[in-house]
Amino acid sequence: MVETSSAKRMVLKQLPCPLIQCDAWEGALAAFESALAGEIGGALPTQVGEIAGRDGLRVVRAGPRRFWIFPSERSATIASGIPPELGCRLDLSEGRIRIEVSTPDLRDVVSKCLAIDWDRTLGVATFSSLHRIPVMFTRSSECDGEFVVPRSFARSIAEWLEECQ
Amino acid sequence: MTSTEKRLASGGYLDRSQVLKFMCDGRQYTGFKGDTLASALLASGVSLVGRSFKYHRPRGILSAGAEEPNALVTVGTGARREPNLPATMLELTSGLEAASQNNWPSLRFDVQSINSLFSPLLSSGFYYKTFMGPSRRAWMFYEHFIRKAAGLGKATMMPDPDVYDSRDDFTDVAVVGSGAAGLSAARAAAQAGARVLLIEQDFEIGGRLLSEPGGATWLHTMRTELEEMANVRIMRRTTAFGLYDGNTLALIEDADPFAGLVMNAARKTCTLLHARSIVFATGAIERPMVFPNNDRPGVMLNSAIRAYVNRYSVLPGRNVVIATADDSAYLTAFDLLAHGARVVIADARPLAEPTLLAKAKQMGAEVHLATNVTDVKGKYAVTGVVLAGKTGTIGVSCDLVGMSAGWSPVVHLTSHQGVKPVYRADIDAFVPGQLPETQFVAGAAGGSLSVSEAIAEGVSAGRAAAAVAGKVERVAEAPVLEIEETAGPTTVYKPIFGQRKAFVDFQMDVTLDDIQLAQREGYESVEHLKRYTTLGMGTDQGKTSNINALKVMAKLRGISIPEAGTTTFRPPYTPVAIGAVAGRATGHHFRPYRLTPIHDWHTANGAQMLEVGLWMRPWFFEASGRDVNTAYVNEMRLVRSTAGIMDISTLGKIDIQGPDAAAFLDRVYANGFASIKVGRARYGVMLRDDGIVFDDGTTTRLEQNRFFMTTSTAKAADVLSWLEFLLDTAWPDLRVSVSSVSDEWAGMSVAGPESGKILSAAFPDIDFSNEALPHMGLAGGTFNDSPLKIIRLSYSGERAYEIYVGASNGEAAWRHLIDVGAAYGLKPYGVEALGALRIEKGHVAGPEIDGRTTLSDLRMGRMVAKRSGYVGEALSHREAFQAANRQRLVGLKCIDPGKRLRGGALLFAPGEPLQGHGRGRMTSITYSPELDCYIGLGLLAADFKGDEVIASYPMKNEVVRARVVSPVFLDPAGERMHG
Repeated sequence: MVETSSAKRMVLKQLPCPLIQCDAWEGALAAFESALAGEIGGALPTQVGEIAGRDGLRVVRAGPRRFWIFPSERSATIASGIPPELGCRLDLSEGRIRIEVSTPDLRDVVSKCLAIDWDRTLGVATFSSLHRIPVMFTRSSECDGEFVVPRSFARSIAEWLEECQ
Repeated sequence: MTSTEKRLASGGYLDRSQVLKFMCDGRQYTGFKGDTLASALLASGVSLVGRSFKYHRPRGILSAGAEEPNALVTVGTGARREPNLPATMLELTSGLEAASQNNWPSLRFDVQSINSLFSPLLSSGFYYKTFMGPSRRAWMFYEHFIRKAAGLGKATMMPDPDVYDSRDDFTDVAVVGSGAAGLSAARAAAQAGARVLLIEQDFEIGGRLLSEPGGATWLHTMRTELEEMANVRIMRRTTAFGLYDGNTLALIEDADPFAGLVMNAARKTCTLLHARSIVFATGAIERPMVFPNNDRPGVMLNSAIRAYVNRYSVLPGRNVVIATADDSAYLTAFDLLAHGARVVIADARPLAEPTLLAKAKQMGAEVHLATNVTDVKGKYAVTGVVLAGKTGTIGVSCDLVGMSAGWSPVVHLTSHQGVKPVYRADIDAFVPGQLPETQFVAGAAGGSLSVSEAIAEGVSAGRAAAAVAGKVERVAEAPVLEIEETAGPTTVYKPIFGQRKAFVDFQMDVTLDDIQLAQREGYESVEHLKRYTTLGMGTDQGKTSNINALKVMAKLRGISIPEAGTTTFRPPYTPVAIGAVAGRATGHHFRPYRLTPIHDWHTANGAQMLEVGLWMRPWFFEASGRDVNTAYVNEMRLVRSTAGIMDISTLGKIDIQGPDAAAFLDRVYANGFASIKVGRARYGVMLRDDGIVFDDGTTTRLEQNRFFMTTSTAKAADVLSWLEFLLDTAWPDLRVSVSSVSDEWAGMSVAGPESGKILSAAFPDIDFSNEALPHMGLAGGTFNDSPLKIIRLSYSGERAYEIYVGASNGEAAWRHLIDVGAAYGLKPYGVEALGALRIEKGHVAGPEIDGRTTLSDLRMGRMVAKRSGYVGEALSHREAFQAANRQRLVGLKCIDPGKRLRGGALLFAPGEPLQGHGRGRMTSITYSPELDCYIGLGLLAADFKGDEVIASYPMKNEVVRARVVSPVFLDPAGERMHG
């Protein structure tokens, strides 16, 4: 699904969001991380919210034992080799929508949506809630940001973002 | 007509190139950019601006800031009418329309000023003592008239057409107040490397320095420096109105009226500012003196006179009496004298600073020591005062009276988190108590009234506040500011008793006599005093009155001022528009909404949508009937006779996996799950810790270590939180992962006798025979290359299948089923029919699982008869849950021809008086086309004997007979769903 809309100076796009969630079991984190790093072929982020990536693959540490992997397109193989005694994998590609927002007023828009410190959001993933809806926010510049939101709320959130402009 | 007779020829912080026309009480005036409404009115010679709350006494402008109790006006008209705004804080704009309040027919001739004649009767507690009889309901009658007689402005009843914003912001250091202390703190913190947010309630930076004739250069230097620092943000027109946990400040910001028209811009913005540290440089408010008729128009705080002279370039009077108990008033006198005014100083103290006395006399002022004002002459404007001193009483003609009884540091914000202010006798004032390590006070807010002290404390506080955020770069000294200063208070001002019409609280019309009366009648605590007299209430919340009042009470009780204490400081510091708190979360955006993957099909095909929780769900389809009552019955018939399709994407869906997943579910559900086989589903019920039923649903074993749980729509988020809580706290050793997949899957249920055929036609690769896919069985496949799960489950009692497909293919799968099923009569149905179908089958839902019922109450006790070790088990055996009169689930069938049952009806035994709560209640009802009567589920006392009840619905005065039957009205053997 691709929807594009614009309001005033804002360009807003709703895009599919391929996403693999990987959880490590308590006590097996080190081995799990090693296995997952081997699966994706690169180092994992060490802090919650930190982003690592390679070849169009973004890996976000979503919790102490949880990783979100964002491939450029859906994949049944990414992280599929994690031993079940170390952790598990869940494909969440259908349940999330990426809302890309470009606007010179992005800081102002975000301040009306999320209780997050704008100056600490560049290049990291921030997990917060918008109207109590769980969202992940990232931004690559002062003007370009991205919200990963539950699919069922995507239209409502997109309207809210446009209203905040 | 305009008049600028009181405007000085030069000076002030005004842009005289911008002349602004405005209206007040129907008359046009002019002012300049940089004026407030109050300064512009004063400049135009207006001294009478309002009427008092209770006695309708004429009132003028007392102050020049947020503490103003008198000069409240209504601004705007129609839907934009906003009452009770202090003219002293209203930035003058072109076209401003203001009106005085609480008067009729006019401000000058106000009929209700007759109240003043009866003031001896209208004392504290007058209403409570007078309007209590003859009956207990009498107050309700009187209240209407009392509220009409006394009050403030009137808000509009029209919808607010303006836009507001609500937002969050973050900073390292928040500095509240931009006077000498605040500016110094902001500069120091910024130089140390911290991100700084400077908050100023005024539209002009500078605080009390704006009133200092020698402060302009220093102010300009500091302001320019701060504006050029990349790590400093300045919020003007912004009041910090509350302090909350975690160094969170609530701010209310007015839009810049000179910013030009910006589409969709907010009129006010409410910000929650999260700061790592805070510097409170909130300054101090001057206290009025208490003497007879101290509320007359033309009696003003001395600090206000200075502000009007030096900041607004207005000379409010030419013959001025300055009453004081404080040195700072001499500076006011000097400023007035410098502009040619005649000044008489009435200093209540027996001694004053000799250099001040010498200068005052040298400049031509007449100084009377140990002298008090004992009366003020003039009704609509001051014409003179009576002074009483050692040499007797004299009358002095004047057109302006200044007064100063010392200063009250603004300790409101620092007190909001429960830090009690402490009294400092040396300055006769309360200052902030011991603050947390991340909060600092600088300047007058901490009792340091001199500018040099304020600057030094500001630098120190700014540096310390930055260090909290880990910023410790070198901080340069602040520029030196050399202005004339005084030593501050040298004595404690004590109001003199025995004076009539000596006002302590101007806005609430509370006099010295009222406080004395309250004390005589036993209302001695300052909290009781406040509630008995209304002192400290109103829009100003007693900013100028509270300290004087508690000093009076302390003296009356013979206790010290600290013993008398202060009232509790609570947010907001100044009134806050509710709209700003809501921001844009109004109307369509009041709350977010959720759409299923099939939503657009529903709306395009005649679905009447219903908001269920946040979900938009089809209520019924117009093709089924013209209204819901017709449609849902037809949709029920459809499901019972052929087949219907229902969007069940809203069900909570949780993925549970891990080596210990089965053990986890076995503990979470009251009924066992360890033995469930792969490819099979089971109905499960969860209990809360206290043994009450929490939620129900089905869970399907997809793989050995993987389950697919569904929950009720309403409890989806609660169940996930509950599972996560249990894994995090009770059983962290279990290797289980739980994740919401509610948005992952589109869900649809095909129910009815023809459902098997429809599914076989739609998905020919899957075997839907009873043998291959029995009731509670799982079949898998793909649709459009998307995973497909089909579980044979029934909520309606008919043969039925739940089909789950990836959300992006949800609408396609729905269309496919509709297209294929059309040949078999398949049509969509909505939640109204769904709810009715489950009642016929006796399935419980939210109205029965209402947070009060147990498994036994719902006739599910047998599910757990031999089990133990599940959540809620221990407390489910409580004695109270075994009581013989516990209300248990029953079916109820209406037996009065032509009548109906109603949800919520109370159940009584025939012949019992229809009083009280009865023996039970109806929880869910529907018309049953199968049984051709109204039926329902209810909870009825288990010890009730008999097979007939009276269902009473007092709201409609309806009484109906119903037969008590099994809650399973239809197909108790389950032949339809198994067949």
